[in-house]
This record gives sequence, C-alpha cells and structure tokens, in this order.
Amino acid sequence: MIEIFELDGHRIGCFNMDGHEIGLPNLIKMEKDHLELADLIISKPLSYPFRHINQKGDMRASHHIRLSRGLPIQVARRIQSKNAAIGEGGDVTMVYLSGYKELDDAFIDSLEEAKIFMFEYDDARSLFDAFFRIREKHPNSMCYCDCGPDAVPVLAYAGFDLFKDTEDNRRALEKFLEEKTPQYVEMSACSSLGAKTLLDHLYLNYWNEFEKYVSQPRSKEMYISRDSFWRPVVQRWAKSVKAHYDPGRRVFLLLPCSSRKPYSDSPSHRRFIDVIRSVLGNAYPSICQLIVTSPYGVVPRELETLIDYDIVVTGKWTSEEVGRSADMLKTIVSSAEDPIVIAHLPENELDVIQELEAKVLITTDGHPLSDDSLKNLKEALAYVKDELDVPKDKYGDVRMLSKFLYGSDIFPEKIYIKGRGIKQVFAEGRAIASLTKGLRPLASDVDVTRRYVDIDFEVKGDLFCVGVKDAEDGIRPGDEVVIRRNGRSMAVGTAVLPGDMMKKMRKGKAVKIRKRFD
Amino acid sequence: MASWKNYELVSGKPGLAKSIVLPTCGCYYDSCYMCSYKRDCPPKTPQNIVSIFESELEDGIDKYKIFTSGSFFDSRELSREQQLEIISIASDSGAGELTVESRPELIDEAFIKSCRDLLEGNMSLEVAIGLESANNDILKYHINKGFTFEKYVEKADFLRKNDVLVKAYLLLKPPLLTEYESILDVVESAHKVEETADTISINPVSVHRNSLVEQLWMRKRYRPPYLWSLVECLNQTRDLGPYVMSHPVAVGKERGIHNCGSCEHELMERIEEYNMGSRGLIDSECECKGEWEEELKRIF
Repeated sequence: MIEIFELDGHRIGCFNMDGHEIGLPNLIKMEKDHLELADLIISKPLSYPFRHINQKGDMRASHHIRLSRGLPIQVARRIQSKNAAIGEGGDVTMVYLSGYKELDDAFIDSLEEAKIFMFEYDDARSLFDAFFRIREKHPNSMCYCDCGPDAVPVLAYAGFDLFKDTEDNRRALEKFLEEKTPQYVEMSACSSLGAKTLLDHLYLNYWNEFEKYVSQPRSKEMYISRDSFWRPVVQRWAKSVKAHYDPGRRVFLLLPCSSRKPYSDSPSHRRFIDVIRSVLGNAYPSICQLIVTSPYGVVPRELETLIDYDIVVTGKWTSEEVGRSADMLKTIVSSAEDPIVIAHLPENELDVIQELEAKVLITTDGHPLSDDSLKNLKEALAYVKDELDVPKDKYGDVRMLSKFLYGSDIFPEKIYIKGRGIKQVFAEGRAIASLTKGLRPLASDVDVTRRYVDIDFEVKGDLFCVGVKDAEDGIRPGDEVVIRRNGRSMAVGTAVLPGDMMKKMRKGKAVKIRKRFD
Repeated sequence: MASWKNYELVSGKPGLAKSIVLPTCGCYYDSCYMCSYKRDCPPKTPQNIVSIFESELEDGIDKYKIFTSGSFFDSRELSREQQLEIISIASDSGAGELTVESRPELIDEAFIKSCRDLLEGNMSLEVAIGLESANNDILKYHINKGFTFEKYVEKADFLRKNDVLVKAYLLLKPPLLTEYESILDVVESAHKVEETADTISINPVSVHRNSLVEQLWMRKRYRPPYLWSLVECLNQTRDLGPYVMSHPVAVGKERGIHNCGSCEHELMERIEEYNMGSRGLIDSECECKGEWEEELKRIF
C-alpha cells in the first residue's frame, strides 16, 4: 500500500508492506535470480515459471511473455493477445510493449492492479502511452522504469517511483530530489537525446495526461529554457482561462506585463491604473484589463494574484508566444457582443491582435509609458467611457476570481474588503473569505460548484483519502478546496492530490486542512 | 562447403564424423523465426541427389551425418525411393552410424521400420529432431516451430522403441527471451528430454539473413548468446543421462555466439573436450565475464 506525501509531477511518498516502510522514489537492485527493493525481495521477472530457479520472494513477479518493438505485427499480435489473456499480474507486473498501440492498449487494459508495474524506456511514445494509462487506472501502484541516469530526472518528474539501482542512477535521483523543480528537469534533459525526447513528449504530446499530477505553483516560478514555455501548469492556465474566465464586459484593455508581480504593484501598472481611474472614475471596473504576457499568454487583472513567475525577456516574441496569447484573447474577446479592444501594447506584441474580430484601437506610440502613448490611452478611454456603465458593486474583481476558482460567486450582495497585507472579505461584520493564495473561503455558507470535496463525517485533523466520498475532478494538487458535508461547507484546505486521485487512493492525505468553519 | 569432418563420440567412442549437406529443395515449413536455410536451397532437388551423396563417401569414416536444410523424411525433398537408396548406400559404406534430420510430423512409423530393416544391423540410425525447446509457449511464441513438445515425445518414443537413436537439438537464446531465460530454458528442456533422447545437442542461435531474428538484431533488440551462456548450459547438464554436446557455428562472430572476441578460442577447446566426453566443470576467466553476469541481471 502506498501513501503520497507530495505530488508535483514527481511523487514523494512511502510504500508499506509487512512492516517494511520504504521511501519513494527509490531504486531496485537487479540480481541474477531476484530483485531487491530495499530489504524486500522480488522474484525474478521471467516470461515463464522455469523450474530451475527459486522463485520465492516477498513479492512475486508476473509471467507475461517478453516482447519488444520491431516485430512484425502478426508476431506481436500473437504474443500480446496471449499476454492480455493472462490478466492476473502478480505483485510485480512486467509491462512489455510491442509499439503497436492497439495491441498494447488491450494488454494494458487487461492488467489488474499490481504493487509495481515495470516499464522499459525504449520508445518515449509507447512508454508514456502505457504509463499514463496505468497511472490513471492504478494510482496506488508504483511504476518502475528501466533507464539510464540521463532519463531519471525527467521520468521521476513524470511520476515514475522506481529506477534501476546503479551508482549513476542513484546520483541522478538524489540530485533530482534536492532540486525537484521543472527548470532542473528541463536543464538536465538537455544532456541527452533520449532524455530530451522524453521531455518533449511529456510537454508537447502528454501534457494533458500529465498536467493533472502537477501541483499549482506555490512560489515564484522561473522560466529559463525555451522548453519551459510548454510546462503543464502554463498549458493548464491557458485551458482554464479559456474555459472558466467569463469577462462579462465588452470593452477590453490590453496591457503589457511587468517583471514585478502582481502586475498592479509594478511602477508601470500603477501608472496605467492611475490613468484608467482618472479617465473612467467609478466606471473603472467596467473595463476588462487583460495583461498580455509570456509564457502565460493572457492574465486578466482579476486573476493576477494567482500567478508569480520570472522569465527571460528579450523583446522578441516567438510565433508560439504570439500564438498562445492570440488564441486566449480570441476566446475571451469573442464572448462579448460588439467588443472594443484598446491595445496598449509595445509594437513587438501587436501581432496578438491580428485575428481579433473586434473594433481595435492601438494606443501605443513607442514605449507604452511614453507621453504620447499615455495621451493616446487617455483619449481612447475617454472615447469608450460612454459605452461603460458604472457598476452597482465595486467588488466585481473578487466575484470574478470566485467564479474562476470555485465556479460560482460565493459572496452575498453586500460585502466589503478590509486589511493590509492579508486582505479579507467581510459581510455583515464577519470575515467570509481571505485573499491569500487567490481566494480562500472562510465561512460555512459559501456555496461552491468547483473545487469541492464531499465527506460524511466531522473533519478533525487533515482529510485522508479513505474519507473522501466525492471530489471534483478539476482539483489539482496545491489548489485551495472546500470540504463539504451534506452540502454545507465545513472547512477549507490545500489539496495534496488531484480530485479523481483522492477518490482512488486507499491511503494518505487528500487535503491538508487550513481552517475549519464553526 | 557441402561437407566437413570432425571428431566426436560415435556410440560412446571417439570417431571421425563426416557431415554432408545435400542440396534438396529444403524445409517445407520454413517459418521458424531464427531460420533462413530454405533461402539457400535450390527450388528443386537435383535428380542426381543420390549420386551427390555417394560421391561424398570415403574410407575411414565412422559416422555420416546428412543435412538437407529440411527433413530427410520429407518426400517433397527426397522421394521415398531416394531416401531408401541413400540409407542403403550408407549401410554399405563401412561407417557404423548414420544421422539424418527430420521434423517430427514427417516421421512415418511404417517407413521408419522399413529403413531400420534395410540397415540389417550393419549400422545404427540416428534421427535428429529440432525440438529447440520443451516449453510449448516458447515453441509457439518465440520460435514459431509449428509442433508441440508432445508431438516430439510421441515420435521420439516410437523411434527409441524401434532401436533408432534420437538426438534432440535445443536452441540457445530464441528471440524475445533474455540471456538468463534462455539458459533456464535450455537446462529445463534438457531435463525434460532426458527420457526421450540419446543425445542432446545445444545449438546457439546465429543470425541468419532475412530471418525475424535478423530484423531484431539489426535494430539492436537481439544479441546472439554469450559463449559463457553455452558453457553454463553444458555445466548444468553434465550429469544428465543423454550425451550432451554442442557444435556451435559462427563462434566469435557478430552474428554468432560470442563473448568479447578474445576468449572464445580457449573456451571452444574446453567445449570440444566436453564433446569428447569430459565431464569436468568448464571454467575460465576473462574480463568480459563480468559483462555477461550483468547481462544475466537484466529484466528487459
């Protein structure tokens, strides 16, 4: 039985069996007639139960028929159909792959849960196809990959728990565990063709399968290599903004990003905000501010506290960078009828508006903070001012954040915000949410439709997987989630696991409780 | 090279054996993953095949071994008349033993009896069967042999009951087995044929052109066995009842059984001694032995 303490692509945890407790990730030692995982003996994985070998051990390996890539399909089909018919895998199941997807999928789907699934790194696509299929179905199982030290960091990051015990692999794993950051993985992947192939497949072809296991960043992220543009968290951002951000307005202001985060704390954005307020006054919230940036594409002003990053800036945008921002803008802007877009962007970023179906006003003339640019911006804002209503409620931004994160506006009609540093949202004299880590609900009457975990008992300490009755599938590790009982919110905490894994794991924490509601 | 000679045990005593390759049209089955003998065969068996055999006979030979790149008893390769004629000529040659090869399904019980009668006790007949493995799954999935162990046992039993000697070939390292599994399979198979074979010959795979094994080998997904593995098999079967031996081909070559390229010669001398009846443990040292031991630890 395994337990996961930390999930961020990689899995830190432990495996318990017959009183042995073995930390994960770990290494498996290969011997001629058996394998060793710490002090546990695994019988030698063999295609057949040969008579002249002692097959005893703490864990028994399956007898599937070995096969490799490069076989004619008829030969591979014969063996892989036989393997699929074996079904029962033993404690340790060998995942032999033919490279023919339909054959391998049928084989993998036939496999029952094992303590360990063993894979070979021969081909990145076959490996990830099989691995993510098995991880999805059997998250309680450990996965081993037979690979060299160059592939260890990227495969540990992908979620493999076990590697071959060699001196080089041990060093590679130790180093990975010291760092554990995507930028270390990206850097180390550049050491070999094999490792970089794995990283590229992981980021470009399997990010959708992988993204679920990657934690929401808790601290400032560094985007150094070009590969980092394709990090799962960034692609997840683009996907969620497109799916869950509803601007609810028809006038958009596009602004460049700043190196200080949140953007509104930066000198440039203070200037922009001053200008907007000075022209629009009470109608300030009625213009939708969108910050155009890389690698995140587009960050709406209301959501800016959710991300924190540093990236290498050269002033040159690649077509991928332009593409992501343009794509996100298109989705956001197209939600409005007769949209008007004020593009206050430096010249090198203007490509992002090319495909927008909207009335576009370009207000920059040289640097966005130049006198001419700011004068143009004022004029444009004055021009659209008549189109803007003064909102009844000036807290549209936190309501927007609430909808984006929790699927609904959790606030009553009358609220106010107080506090320095940590700001809190109050209603009728009582704090109902704090604006840390985006937005954390603090009261039992909040009603969420996303990021909820349902239980049917009184939560005391942290919430364990066994107690999870239901969990929303969109939850990711590191998300703030609301614990509900009989439809009533009981507590708020930080997810350790993605929602669907909370339901599947049999041991370990699902949510670290931050606050229980009275 | 249509023929060659070597010393080996003939009826338990050292003797000179002559092997003759008869250019028949070759194996009708032609589907085993490691084999492409059929490729080198003429489309039709030449009409003078019997005289080709006859021309190879010479004085001082204790044993003739006939290889047809197929089955001697397949009437598509040699007509029944030709088969009988060759056996009859051999029986008058002065040699004490004749070996022919056949797949088990081509061994016809009535015909075997007539062959045996023809020899009139002049000479013993040995039928070599390419069993390869006593594991039916290995026969099916790793070799595509087209017959089962039970079929072999049935025919081998019959042959032995009729005073025909049985030689079982076992294949060392069919494709899709690890080095270690291939040793385990040969040792297990040798034990399983102990009651049905007089001689066990261990044949390490060599990479034939246009075989499935070659496809895998070209993609670096197959390596012919280490000579250390053959040594290990011989050491583990030295106490068996049947006479165990091995005449590997392409030793030391990329496509054949090999170690590091420098220690094979010495090991082959020890294997030759083994073939001649010595049953001491074969042992030797070379830097590449550690590499082989690592190979045995592999699971993929």
